Amino acid sequence: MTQLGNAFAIAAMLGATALAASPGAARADGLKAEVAHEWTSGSEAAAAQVIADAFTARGGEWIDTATAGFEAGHAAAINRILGGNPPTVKMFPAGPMTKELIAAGLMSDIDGLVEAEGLKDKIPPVILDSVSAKGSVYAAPLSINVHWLIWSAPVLAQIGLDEPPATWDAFFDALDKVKAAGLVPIAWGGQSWQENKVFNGVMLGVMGVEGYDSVYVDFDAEAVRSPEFREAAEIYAKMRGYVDPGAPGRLWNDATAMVLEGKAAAQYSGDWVKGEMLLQGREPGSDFFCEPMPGAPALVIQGDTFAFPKKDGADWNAAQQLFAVVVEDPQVQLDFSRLKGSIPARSDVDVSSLDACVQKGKALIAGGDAAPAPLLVMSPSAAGQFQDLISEFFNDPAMSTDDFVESFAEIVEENA
Amino acid sequence: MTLFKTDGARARWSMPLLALGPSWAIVLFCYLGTVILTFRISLTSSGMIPNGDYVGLAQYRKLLGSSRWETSFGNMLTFGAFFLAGALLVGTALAVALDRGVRGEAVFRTIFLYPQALSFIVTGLVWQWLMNPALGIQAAVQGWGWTGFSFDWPYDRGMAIYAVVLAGVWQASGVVMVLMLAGLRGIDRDIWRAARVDGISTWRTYAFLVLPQLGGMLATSVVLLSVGVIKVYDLVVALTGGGPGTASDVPAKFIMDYLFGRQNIALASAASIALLVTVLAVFVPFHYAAALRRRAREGAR
Amino acid sequence: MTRSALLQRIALYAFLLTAAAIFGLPLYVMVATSLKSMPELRETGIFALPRALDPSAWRMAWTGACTGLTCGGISPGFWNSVKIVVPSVGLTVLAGALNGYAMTFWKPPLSGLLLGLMVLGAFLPHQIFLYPLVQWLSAIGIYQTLPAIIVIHCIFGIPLMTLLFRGYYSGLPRQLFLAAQIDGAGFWRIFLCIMLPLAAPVTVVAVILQSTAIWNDFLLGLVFAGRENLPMTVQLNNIVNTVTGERDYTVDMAATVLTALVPLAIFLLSGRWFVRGITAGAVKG
Repeated sequence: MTQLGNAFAIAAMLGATALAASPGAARADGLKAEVAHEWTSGSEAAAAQVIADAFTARGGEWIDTATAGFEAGHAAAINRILGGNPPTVKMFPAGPMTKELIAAGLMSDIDGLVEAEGLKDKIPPVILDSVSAKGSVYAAPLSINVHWLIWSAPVLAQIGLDEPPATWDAFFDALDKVKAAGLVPIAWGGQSWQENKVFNGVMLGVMGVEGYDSVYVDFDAEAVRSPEFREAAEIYAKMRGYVDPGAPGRLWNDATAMVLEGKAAAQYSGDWVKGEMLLQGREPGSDFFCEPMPGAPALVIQGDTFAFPKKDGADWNAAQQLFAVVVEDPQVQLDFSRLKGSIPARSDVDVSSLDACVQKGKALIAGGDAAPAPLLVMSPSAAGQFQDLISEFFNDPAMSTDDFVESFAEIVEENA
Repeated sequence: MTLFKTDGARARWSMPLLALGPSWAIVLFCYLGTVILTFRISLTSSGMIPNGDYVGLAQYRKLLGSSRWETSFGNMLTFGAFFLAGALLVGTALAVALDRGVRGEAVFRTIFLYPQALSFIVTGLVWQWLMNPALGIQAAVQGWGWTGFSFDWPYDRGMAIYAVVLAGVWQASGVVMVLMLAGLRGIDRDIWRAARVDGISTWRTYAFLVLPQLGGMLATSVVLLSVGVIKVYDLVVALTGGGPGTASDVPAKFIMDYLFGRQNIALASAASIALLVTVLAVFVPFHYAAALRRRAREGAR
Repeated sequence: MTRSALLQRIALYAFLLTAAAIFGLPLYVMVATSLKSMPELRETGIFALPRALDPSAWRMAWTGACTGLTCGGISPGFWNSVKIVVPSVGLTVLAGALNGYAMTFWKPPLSGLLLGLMVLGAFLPHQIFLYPLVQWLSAIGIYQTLPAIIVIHCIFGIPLMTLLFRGYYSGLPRQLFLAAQIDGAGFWRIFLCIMLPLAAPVTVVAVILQSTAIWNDFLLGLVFAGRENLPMTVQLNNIVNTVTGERDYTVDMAATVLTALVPLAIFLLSGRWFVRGITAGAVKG
């Protein structure tokens, strides 16, 4: 066993001791962990509290460092890691984002835990591989986020539909009726990362998993120049006509509020939208629907993980290993996902007690039929280039589909 | 080469040099050091952490080929021109008006100056609100019956950068006003008597006799405002987020995005150097001209 | 008063009052909104006067609003900001005065170059300094502490302060300095006993400019101050960008006004001195 494996064993032991001791005593000599994250919306914070409670119950002490906004949060955390004064734990989206930190030897692995829990067989490879390097695992996957097209059931009822449209023709047909009824068809989140998600969803709907992967995983420029990709671009561009003038710059939760209040028919984004709906007491099936994009055989996925920057100090790694144990606890993953709206990262967690969307989502991604979100498979720099272009295309009606396709193909070639 | 020609000179300058020591340290270590480091990184293929993989001018080629950088840079020029002109115009107009001997000058002055106390984040947020089509001025005016009225600049790609200009002018005009007012108060009052004797109108006196004397204050205002132009970031983030799309993006936001979110510090460094070169291109001739003028003046004395 | 003179007066006041209305509008909207409830805001819009003075949004913003798992409002940041602003302003203003004095009256070699580099430094975007400064501050072991953020503010503040004081001192008669020198006063004595007291008007201007700039800083505080010392603006950002379902604009605006209160108070209380300082030649063209 490696040295870190030993540390894991010590941490697990400490955890066990703390469980046995009274909660008060456990807290007194708790393993302090400063946890940096960006979960600041209502449902996100409530879900984070689940981990905090479980960590505290096992003798840890959660010191909260929440920053609103990924940009600011990552800027602070990365500078702190490079500056040698990192937080104990940092939440990162799964993907190659931490690759360089790992290569520079700045992150702790959790191999001991991975082996003890047999995680290699229990976490989808696309997620686990994205946080692994040279056979070691450097982050504890917590949850999988899938992307949904959320429909407001009352708004659909208003236009005479009792279930969401399943084809692109029906989709635009329904949106036309919503518009005619004086409501906003799409609750549009007007930031580039949100617009990017919508395009990726459309692409999956039109091109299927194979076509999607040939663009984002294989970087095949021919796939971009295909008629299918072009169709996806045209559908995406057509959506310009179905958003309200207040869309630019709108935050995702402001868009969700429009669906909640029955002012808008649909929003496409991550399952945190569903989390917010659940938090407001809405039920899937009766109050809202969660659907893949029309024609999509699967869902775009991404993941949330916790990574562990290295630092000297006896308790430091012990606290990290204990934290990883808590994160990989099936019950914690289940309770977290219940509130956040996500799917537990461990496939062996029984999700039958979670909402209908989770059941549906798990079925849609189970056959490996999942399309990875760009950040899961490419560098943030490459993902950013796509994001700029996709957002600009939506917001600039003067950009022709030809220009868009060609620019897209160039980015693909540049990063291939 | 020795700096000091005599022992006497050494004694004379030891204390002043000691006093300036920390500033020399800041300038050499932090400023020049950072610039050199940044330049070196801009020649590499570094991602999140600087690496030693030199790729020549590849990052600069990438930068110049990037349409987002082009937009950002163009926006900085647009913002710079309109922000400078707007703030100088509004500030000077306010100063002239206050110089006419008005009641409640102190109250007016405070009202025009208070925006300077707010952070750009606050300014951006408030103006985003005022220009929000559903919430702000547009909705209110339409509610009063003018249904054709439109004022939604941050949401309109053609106008988004002007929304930033508007908020910037609102925030910065007060300082220009104070500077110009101070300048006006420092002018010899006889000029007015002379103008009146010659029958020159108030307006013409200001335009042709008084304001031309305020060149110094104008230069100070321009320097103060230009520093803000290069650095404009918070205001854009809070007001438009650089959008719609990348319509109101600025270089500082481009750099910030690539530095952290996108983990491409090489490209961010290239952008920083490009920005620095731009500043130098404007600053050095300006500084040189000022030095020449000063020397000419001192020579004439 | 002649007819045309009267018309001119009317036009003058009309211009000033219109300008004052435009300049005042944002502050009015901020304060009015912070005193409303969300239903009232939705019903009456952002320009209507609040029906009653409802301080609940202020209480929420000050002590209740949540960021992640902590629900302390922005009050914890207030004292952090004070702890950062007071020493930073003191040091930068003092250093600026000393630099301006040394450069103007003693003119040691290369001080023109130093000044030029300082001005150039003032133009560089702050972002590019972050990474190297993090490394250097870590190397001397103070990264993420109160001294770190103070040092950072000094690094970015001293150039402008130096320019300000140099401009002021170069407007003073040189005889003053020569006379003191003939009387046998040395470098420090002339500075402390004559030049620093003489610089009172510009010092006021310097303090006002510096304290507002540092109070309003967000990025540097976030990166350098450490989680124990995060300034108020970081919490403002957290609250304004943290939303549950529907956004509570009243709390956002209350937090905004609360954060702006200190610089606003500085401007309102010392605005007269600010204007006087500049008029007295604090800023020379």
